[in-house]
Amino acid sequence: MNLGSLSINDEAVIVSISDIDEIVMRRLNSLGVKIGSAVCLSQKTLFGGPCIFECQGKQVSIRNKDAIKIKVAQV
Amino acid sequence: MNKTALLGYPNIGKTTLFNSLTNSYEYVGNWSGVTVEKKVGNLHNNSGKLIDLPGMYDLAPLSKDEEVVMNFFLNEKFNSVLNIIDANHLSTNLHLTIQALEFGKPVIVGLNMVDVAKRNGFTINDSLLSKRLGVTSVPTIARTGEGCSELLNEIACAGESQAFELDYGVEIESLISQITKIIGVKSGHNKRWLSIQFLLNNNMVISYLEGLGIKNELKAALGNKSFNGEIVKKREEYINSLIEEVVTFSEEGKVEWPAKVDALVTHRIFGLPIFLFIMYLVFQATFTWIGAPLSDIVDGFIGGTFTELTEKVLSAIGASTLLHDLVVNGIIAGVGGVLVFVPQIFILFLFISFLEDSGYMSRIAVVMDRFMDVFGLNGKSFIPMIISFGCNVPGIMAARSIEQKKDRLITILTAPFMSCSARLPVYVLFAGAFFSSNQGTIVFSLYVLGIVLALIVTKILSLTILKDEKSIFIVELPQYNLPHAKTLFRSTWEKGKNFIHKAGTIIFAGSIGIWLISYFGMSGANVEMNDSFLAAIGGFFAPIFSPLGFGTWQATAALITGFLAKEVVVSSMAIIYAVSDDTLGAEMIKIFTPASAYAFMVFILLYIPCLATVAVIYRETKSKMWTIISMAYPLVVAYVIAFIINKVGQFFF
Repeated sequence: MNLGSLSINDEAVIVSISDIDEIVMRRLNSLGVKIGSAVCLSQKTLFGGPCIFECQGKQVSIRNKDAIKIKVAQV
Repeated sequence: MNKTALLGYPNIGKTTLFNSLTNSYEYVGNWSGVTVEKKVGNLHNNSGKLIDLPGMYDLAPLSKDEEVVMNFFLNEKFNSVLNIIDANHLSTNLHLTIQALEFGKPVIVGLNMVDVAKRNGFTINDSLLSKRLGVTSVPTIARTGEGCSELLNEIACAGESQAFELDYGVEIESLISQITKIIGVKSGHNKRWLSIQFLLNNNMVISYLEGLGIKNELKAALGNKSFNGEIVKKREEYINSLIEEVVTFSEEGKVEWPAKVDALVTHRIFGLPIFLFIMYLVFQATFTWIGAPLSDIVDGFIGGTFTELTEKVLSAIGASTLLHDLVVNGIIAGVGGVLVFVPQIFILFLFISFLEDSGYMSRIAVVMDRFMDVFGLNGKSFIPMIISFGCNVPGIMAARSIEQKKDRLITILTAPFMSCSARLPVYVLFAGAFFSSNQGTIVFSLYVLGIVLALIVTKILSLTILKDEKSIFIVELPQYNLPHAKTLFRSTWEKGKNFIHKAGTIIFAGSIGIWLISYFGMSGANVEMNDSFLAAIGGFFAPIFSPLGFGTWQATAALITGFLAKEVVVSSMAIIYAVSDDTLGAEMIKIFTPASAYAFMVFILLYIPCLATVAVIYRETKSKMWTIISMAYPLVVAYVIAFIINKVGQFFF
């Protein structure tokens, strides 16, 4: 299961992040998005556009193609 | 002189606090990347200087901003650190605080956005936090300036620092003491801090220590192990226990509306229509509801009362006809023709500042990302484009927040196609004269044309010259804020003052210059307009524009001078036809056909970025080649499109 496949308001924990663009990875880390972080998907957009998720009280938006590289386990 | 460094994450109100704490004036914006250069301000109570460091996440540098901060810590002298932390995100922000404490200089903590934290249901016991960290922490609300006077007092009396030591466990502690010994007296910095940063693989500290000539000894002590993970883990444990102690959370206090607003404005279906509707309201308010009536008042004042008064003064002091003509027909006509649009420009900037400060701008980036992706760009590029509607200069500067070089470059190259407010006077003049029954539609069509062409050029660039780099997108959505009036007016003024400045400099000088070459000719002074130098210069280039339908010397002269600033086109025409703005339209009808008038407007929209924009393109790209391209390709595009419009338009209008 990955971040992109969650439904809106689903809560999950990040299990692994792999094969993601380095700049995206660095930004994610500094925003506190890393393995073990709890996330909650708050919005999806049409046509495979970006999604918005909440992590440690921050709203972060990334593209769907990056979101599917973040593996999560639902809680 | 007492020097304090302002340190903190991006997007937490640091620049706003900087403005409240100092007498000096700074640009305020929510969009990250605004604080790029080092800024120094004088503190209000004259207790010293405040140095605004770029917003950053970690002392071990990854980005350019972080390198700036680390370089400052290693190489500059300062007395204390003012660390601003976001009360909503203590768990991430405190990592930076620990690093600042370990540096050993006195630290004052500004606990910012306590109002938003309260709204989110968090209450923070700041006196307990101060006690645990061994520092003074002051709750602040940057937007309203609350807590600023306390901060100023604390900065003024920041004395000796208390030692802050976090126990990193036996293995790391023994390494720290080894490294500390190796450094010995070679460095004036806190040795424990240097050792920890070294163990964290901070590349700037590594090269700093290498510079002390102790590279081999350090290598021997450390081996090849990395301790990054363990150190960060220890800090996390400490921070978590600290938060458990000082923060109380209650669901009751939590306000639900921001989440509800977000669910609506970033909605998969309604997000885009809402955005378009907001933009429609902004443009209506700017150009019709508020802007136009205000402009009429200014116009009435300059053209009426002010001109009469000036003429009275001029005759009273017995000015010559030459001086009289220069002042009335040159300066007042030229500068006045532009000042008329200042109200509209300021209102547009007020709305743009409001959208930025409220936090909505980053939502637009999300809403527009899928659309921009089609053209090979990302949603963040949309923000510079919107700002460019006000003025291309801040628009191009806003592209700084885009991480990738390719995306930034394309945004910079296409932003000048966004119709800035300086081009509006030309549209208003021509649309009013030729298309009075559907002015609005004609002006709107020009805005749309600019956007469409920008997108086409973007697509071409990302398929050809710049195809090897892919576009990325990641954005943090800041909390919603009701922008504070003072901050809002300040940032509107910061953006808009450029126009007033231009009116006093380029346009003032340009008006005098144009008037002079229109007043003098081969046969001397006060010649017929058609015999002036201006007519000769315009006439020389005019044949180039004949296929476009405006091959007259007057139009050509206006285009040439329009490079100084697009508003000058109208000033030039006012001087050339020696009439006030009111009757200029009537004069136009004699020279242009509707088709050639529309072609002329399109040409003005596209033909070249103005002088100020070219300067900022060069500053931001640091490339002569791209700057030249940014001037050359619009000329070609403008010529081709205007040609087609003039030919095809003859059948329609």
